[in-house]
Amino acid sequence: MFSEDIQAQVDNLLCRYPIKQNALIPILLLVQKENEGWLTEEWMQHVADICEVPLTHIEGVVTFYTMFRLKRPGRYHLQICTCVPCCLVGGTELLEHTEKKLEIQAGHTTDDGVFSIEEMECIGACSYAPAVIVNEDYHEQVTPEEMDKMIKELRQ
Amino acid sequence: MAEETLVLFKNIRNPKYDKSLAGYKRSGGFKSLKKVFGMKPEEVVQEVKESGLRGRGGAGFPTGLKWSFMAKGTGKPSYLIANADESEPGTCKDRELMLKDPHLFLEGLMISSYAIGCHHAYVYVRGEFFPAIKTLNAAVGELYADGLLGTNPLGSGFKLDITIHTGAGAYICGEESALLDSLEGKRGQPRVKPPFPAVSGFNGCPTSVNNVETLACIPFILSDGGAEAFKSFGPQNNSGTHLVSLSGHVNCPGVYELRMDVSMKDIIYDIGGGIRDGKKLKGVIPGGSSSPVMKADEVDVLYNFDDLAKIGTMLGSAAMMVFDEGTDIVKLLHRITRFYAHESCGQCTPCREGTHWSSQIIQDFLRGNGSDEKLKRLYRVGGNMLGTTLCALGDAAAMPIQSFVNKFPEEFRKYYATL
Repeated sequence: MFSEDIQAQVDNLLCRYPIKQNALIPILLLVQKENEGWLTEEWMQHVADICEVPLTHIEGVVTFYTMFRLKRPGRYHLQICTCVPCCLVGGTELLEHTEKKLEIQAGHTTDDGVFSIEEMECIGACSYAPAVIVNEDYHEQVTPEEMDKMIKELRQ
Repeated sequence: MAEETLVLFKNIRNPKYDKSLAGYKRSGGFKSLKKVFGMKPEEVVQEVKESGLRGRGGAGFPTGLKWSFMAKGTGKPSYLIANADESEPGTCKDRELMLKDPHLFLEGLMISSYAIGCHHAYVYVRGEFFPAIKTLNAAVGELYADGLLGTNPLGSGFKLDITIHTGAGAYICGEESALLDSLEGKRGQPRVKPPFPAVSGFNGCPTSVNNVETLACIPFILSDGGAEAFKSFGPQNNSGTHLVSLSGHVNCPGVYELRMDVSMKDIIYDIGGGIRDGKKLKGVIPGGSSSPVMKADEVDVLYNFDDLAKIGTMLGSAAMMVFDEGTDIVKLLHRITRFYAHESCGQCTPCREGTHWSSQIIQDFLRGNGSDEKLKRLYRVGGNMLGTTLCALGDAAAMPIQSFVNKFPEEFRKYYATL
């Protein structure tokens, strides 16, 4: 079911832990990344088999942690922090600006599937607020103008 | 004029510093590890005890003492877990260490593993820290290639593996027993204690969980004369330098390395360059969002564990969030309560219900439906979470509520009183 490369990474993860279940979260993250940012029941069942746990255990884990997604995100997933330090210096306004610009609310994806927005709790970049993660990259002290520019560039 | 004291940031503040293994070695790195391999593990623990190092993750528990609790002779492996799940709002110091000087932290992790007899250490990094995860994985790769990890590093006869483990987004996993459940591949829910992790931790084995910054202090402490020097940096019982994450309405937010005898006033006005736009200070959340709030007239106090405890608040993770006179206190508290409502793991009723109720009551104020009765109820809901839950999240949610209501009652009344 996995490509050769992913299978090698999964095997490598499995041998780093005393029992297979310990590797469950890193393996799920790896699978999610490979599947364009979300998990399907088919993939979860496969990971359940690998880690020797029931599917219900995987579902419990997946619904507990915020980074696991059960629906497809946009190609560019904009994770905007509005937690305490970010909200003090414009994080909330940045989120509202982005929602207006893309005409979607946080938690949704644009019709063309290019962008999705997620309102984040603290992402640990507090001294460089307001901060945004786009897919895996941090952007710091982001102004609404910079957000507009970034959206324009990513769309191209 | 307050200024930085560079121990942990000695390399990071050097603009020419090369954070690769070769660069770290050129800066004097791994001398402490070499020295430690000539010592007995219990001597290392003793040195750390003598340095007075207290955990930098928030609780301030003495590190050497924590290590001495590790169960011995159990026939099970011992584990050391670095807590890199930095997620207390306001805190962004461990990220600096992992991104900009990963080998300093890793040397600390290696020395500490030797001290407690751990042969496989894990670094539990929060999943959103993609750049730090990449940097750490690359650094660990360099250590294996160099022979510093694996079997017999530096001819010591010791064996050590390090694995970088990624979390998947949950504030509660910063709590050490929830972290262990998460590391085992479960939902991250805090455990009933005792047994403490030192007796039954990762997969039921003796485990010590230590913060990244705490571990990064270890190479200095184990250098020649290091423990004494470390102790000399701050007031008694508040040893060493610490990393302060400064954020909010200051001109120069950032992460700064300071002694613990610097006052908060100096941190805000000297280090932080004062309040931006020439405004006046209204207050400070001194140690991460769970610490009781302080008013502007309280900041003439030394920024350390004991001096803050004396005035009824806490140093926590040394994350100072500064806010100016234009800040709406009710909205700010609402944002804090929303955070705890989102992050409660749902295991204990007072926290699961209380975090949501408090958020909804404050929402009522914001919609113009506040009252004296609701203000009292908000305070009571906070009180019902204090000390009534398995982990400290209930307390963490309660302390801001009660302190905001105590210190700024007029701000809540503004929302409903007819003046």
